[in-house]
Amino acid sequence: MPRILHAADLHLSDAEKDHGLAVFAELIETALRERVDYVVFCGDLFNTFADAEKLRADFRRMLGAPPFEFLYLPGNHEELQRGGGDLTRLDFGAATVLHTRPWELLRRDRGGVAVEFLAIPHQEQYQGYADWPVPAKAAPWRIALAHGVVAGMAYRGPDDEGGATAIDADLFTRFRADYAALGHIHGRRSQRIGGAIFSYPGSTRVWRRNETGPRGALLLELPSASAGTDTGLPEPRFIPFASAGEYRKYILPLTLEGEPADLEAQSKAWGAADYIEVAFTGVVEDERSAAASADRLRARYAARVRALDIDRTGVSALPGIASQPMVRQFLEAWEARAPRPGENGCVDVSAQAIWIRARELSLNLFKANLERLA
Amino acid sequence: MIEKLTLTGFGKFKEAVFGLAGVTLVYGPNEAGKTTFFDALFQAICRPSETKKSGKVLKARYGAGRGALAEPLPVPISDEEFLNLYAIREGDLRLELDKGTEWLEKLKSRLFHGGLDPSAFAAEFEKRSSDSRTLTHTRELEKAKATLDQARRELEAKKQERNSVLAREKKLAEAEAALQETRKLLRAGAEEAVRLESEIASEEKIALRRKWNGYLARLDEWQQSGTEAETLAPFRLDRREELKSLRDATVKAGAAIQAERGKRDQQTDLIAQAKVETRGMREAKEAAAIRSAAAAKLAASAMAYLAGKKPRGGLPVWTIAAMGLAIGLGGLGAAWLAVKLAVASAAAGVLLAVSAFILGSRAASAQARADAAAALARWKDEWNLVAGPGVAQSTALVGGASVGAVNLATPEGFLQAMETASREKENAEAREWEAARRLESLQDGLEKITATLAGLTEAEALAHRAEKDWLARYGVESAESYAERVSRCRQVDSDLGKRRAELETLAGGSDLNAFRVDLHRKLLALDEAGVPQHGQDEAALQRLRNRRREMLKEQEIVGGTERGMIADREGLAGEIRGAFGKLAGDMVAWEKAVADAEEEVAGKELDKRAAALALEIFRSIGYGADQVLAGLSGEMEAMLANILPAGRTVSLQGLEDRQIQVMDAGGGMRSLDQLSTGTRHAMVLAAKLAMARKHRPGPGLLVLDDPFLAMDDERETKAMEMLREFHVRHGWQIVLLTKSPPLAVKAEGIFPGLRRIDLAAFA
Repeated sequence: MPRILHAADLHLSDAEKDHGLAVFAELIETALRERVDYVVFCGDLFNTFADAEKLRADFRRMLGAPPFEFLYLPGNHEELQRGGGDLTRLDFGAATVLHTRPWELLRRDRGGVAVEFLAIPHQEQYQGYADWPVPAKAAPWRIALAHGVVAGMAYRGPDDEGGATAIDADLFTRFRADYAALGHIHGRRSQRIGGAIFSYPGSTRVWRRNETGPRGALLLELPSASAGTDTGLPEPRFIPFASAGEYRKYILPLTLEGEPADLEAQSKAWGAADYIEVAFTGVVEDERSAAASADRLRARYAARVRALDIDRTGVSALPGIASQPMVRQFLEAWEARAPRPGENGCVDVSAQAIWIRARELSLNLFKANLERLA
Repeated sequence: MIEKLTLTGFGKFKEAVFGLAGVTLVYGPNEAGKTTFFDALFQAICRPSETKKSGKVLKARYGAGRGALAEPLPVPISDEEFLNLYAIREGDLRLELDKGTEWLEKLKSRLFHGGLDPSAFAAEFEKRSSDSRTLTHTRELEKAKATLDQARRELEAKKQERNSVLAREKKLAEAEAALQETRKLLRAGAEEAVRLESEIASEEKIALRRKWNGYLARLDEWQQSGTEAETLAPFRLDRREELKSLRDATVKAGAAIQAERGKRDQQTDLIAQAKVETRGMREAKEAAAIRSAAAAKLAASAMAYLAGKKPRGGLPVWTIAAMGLAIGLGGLGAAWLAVKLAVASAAAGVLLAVSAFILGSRAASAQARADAAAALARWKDEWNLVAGPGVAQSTALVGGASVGAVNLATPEGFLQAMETASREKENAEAREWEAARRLESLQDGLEKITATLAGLTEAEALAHRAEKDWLARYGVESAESYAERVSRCRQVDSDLGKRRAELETLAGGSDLNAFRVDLHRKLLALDEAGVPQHGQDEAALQRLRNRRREMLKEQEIVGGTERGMIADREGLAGEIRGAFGKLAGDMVAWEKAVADAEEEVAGKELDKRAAALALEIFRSIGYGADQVLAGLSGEMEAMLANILPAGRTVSLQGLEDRQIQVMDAGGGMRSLDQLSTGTRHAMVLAAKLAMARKHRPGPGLLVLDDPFLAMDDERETKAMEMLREFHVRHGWQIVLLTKSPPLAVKAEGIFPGLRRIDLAAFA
């Protein structure tokens, strides 16, 4: 019963070397703990080619000689800052680097069951794939590895994940893949298309803003050959990585005096690897008060987390606003309308968003009116 | 507060500096420059742009070089604000609030919550949360939704296109399979064509052999026909008539023989009959001799019996006659019928006679009858022994006499019968003789016929021999054979020419012997080539050829189909290759467009819902505005109370002219335009003061040019007192312009510390 750990988009970088390598270490540990037969890494292991050059020694050292096979499919990021460099010339130790374009087919039989790996490294375009002379499937399982955007998998996050070419899901079903191990889209998702499972494990660590939710890898267990062909594949299981951290975003309305709401309660859930973003909103009497509040937050929390971004672009200042009785009257009435937690103890997210936005719109209107009066 | 107003080149005032106090009275009769002073103040405070109407008017009126400087420099205010709120020109007391000017908006804002009007906010958010399609945000939301729908449609279209490509690819695979099938057909067809070719070639050689053999056979037949023609040469001249006459002679002789033979046969039959008759006569004669002897004996006995008795009148005549008839019958029967019948007839006759006798003698006495009966019985028995029982009866009948005529019951009768019977022999002998004569005659006739027949037979044999000899001369069996030979001879003669002509045609004009040699040579070559002796017949060969032709046609059609299929496949494959990959990119682009549009729509819908919440909040705050309006109306009321007698209620629904209502003298509420001039002026003054104070957070300036013209003296005084109150309480600077000397005097009395400027001194 072969076990496969599927990960992608770690974006190891010299700039965040320690964090990145810690996550990589957890990936290796997980593979060992879960006794996997293969680790398939589907692109953007390194943030840039330059990072690959710099960190490959650490990579080799940490990977060592594992009891599993590490299949490494390069993504679009390994192409960045390449200069005249050639990834195929770099030594990645025990890893099997799958860089043959447009595809290559490997057959392995770890775990007593033959598995074929159809590796499709990132490429500029996949046109003509219908003519690829991929041999007919000759093993109980075929796993396809690719790095790109599979059309039909509900692409989200405009421009963030550009740089890779779209791939038709037909490419995988055509060549009888049972599982499409994908990389490039940083949001985790899994979908059955034409009898095959298409999975993006999401980025292995929080690499940038808006990558919400836990990060980690997918564990796929291939049933034995006899049962497998009839029963099909079970859904892969997600294994979160503690070292990967989480991205958490808070929209904090500032008082007219520039005081943010208290974050203490929320901060109890934060981990050292978390990426925290705080977005201030509102109109304040004095912009400096907002800056001071940001400094206070930083002083209090920055050391506790991997990154703390405080966004003050949603804050505007209007001297005299604090003395406007109607603004105060509005804020009182607004506070009184704060969404209450429901029976499950949770606040309706959309009601919360509406409530916050109503404040933002009203304060902006106040500001516009007061500026006009002045 | 403006303390100094310096005018240069401003109408009448070339160089003038005016010192202003908290309340300044500017007095000047007509043409003294009161209006110029007002305009100079307007210029100094509002500094109107020369591109605007008021600026243009000032420039036209006082020239481009005019100068008006107020010190300290006041914060500039708009023309409309100054003219509507802080100034009254020449007694022109109007509110004109419904012009919707900016100052009024500011006033409204400042009146409520530090210058902000919650109802304005509510109105704004009502718009933003409204579904009205005339509003921009609704149109933008609809546009965003339309963009989203469009993106979804495009995405769906791309998906469809992609699925269609996949379907077409499947079709391509099917086309490929069909093409392979077609090619298989083509190959099979080609193989069959080769096989057919070979078979046909072989069959054609066999056919050639058959043909050449046929020619040879015809050559042989022709030669045989020549030989036959020679053998049939005697028959070339038709002599069938000759043969026919011979034949006729034989037939005629035969016919004569036949006729004679008929006669002979008839004669023979007659002789046979005569012989039978003669034999019968002889036998009848012999039987009649026996009976005649017995009858003679019995007649003798009867005669003896009768002779021993008295004759009783002798033997009746009819008895004798009966006996005679019996004999006669017996004799006749013997002559014509079988001997036994004759005997029987004779016996019957006798019996008849006896019976007749017996019957006749019945009348005798009983004794005599008994004797007679005994004698008769005895005789009858004897007779019967000879003639058999019943013969007597028969004899009687044969004798031709009736029973009654020959009475056999009597001895007489019996005697008569017996005598008759005794003569039967003679009759029989006569008849035998006649029969013998007749037989002899017939036998003579037969001899003659036989002699004639012999002659005829000889003649016939001669004729027949002549015919035979004739036929033998020609070597034929019969006339028919001769006729056949003649006919055959003619046919052979006829065929011979035709065949030769045909063979010469086949030989192509060459000599027929050479042709034969050539045919043999060719056949030998076929043998050497191993061509089988026998193949299919011509029809089968033709079927093969037809099949080959059809096969070629089919191959041509299938080949065309194959070419079409290849072209289709190439076209389809080209389309598909172009579409794959590109479509995935398009789909992702449209998925992204859908996501963007969804985000935009969500953002706009969020804004709309947030606006609805804000509307709710501002509506709840908006109730406070009523209180503010009530406060302002109270202030107006208080000011108005300074001018008008008795309390006049002022009601403000808002700040539009029509929304301001004042109680008239009669106690009814009237809108501003329905009040008396004096009351309206008082109300407008009160309202302006109230609003001017509300409009500015701090003290301001009021410039009033003869504001009390429509008021009576008492109201004028009260109004001035009200101004004083206003000045004192709120610190506002007042500049009062007038052309009225009494008013100037009155003002000096009412406003303590009033500074008076006489314009006449500056002109």
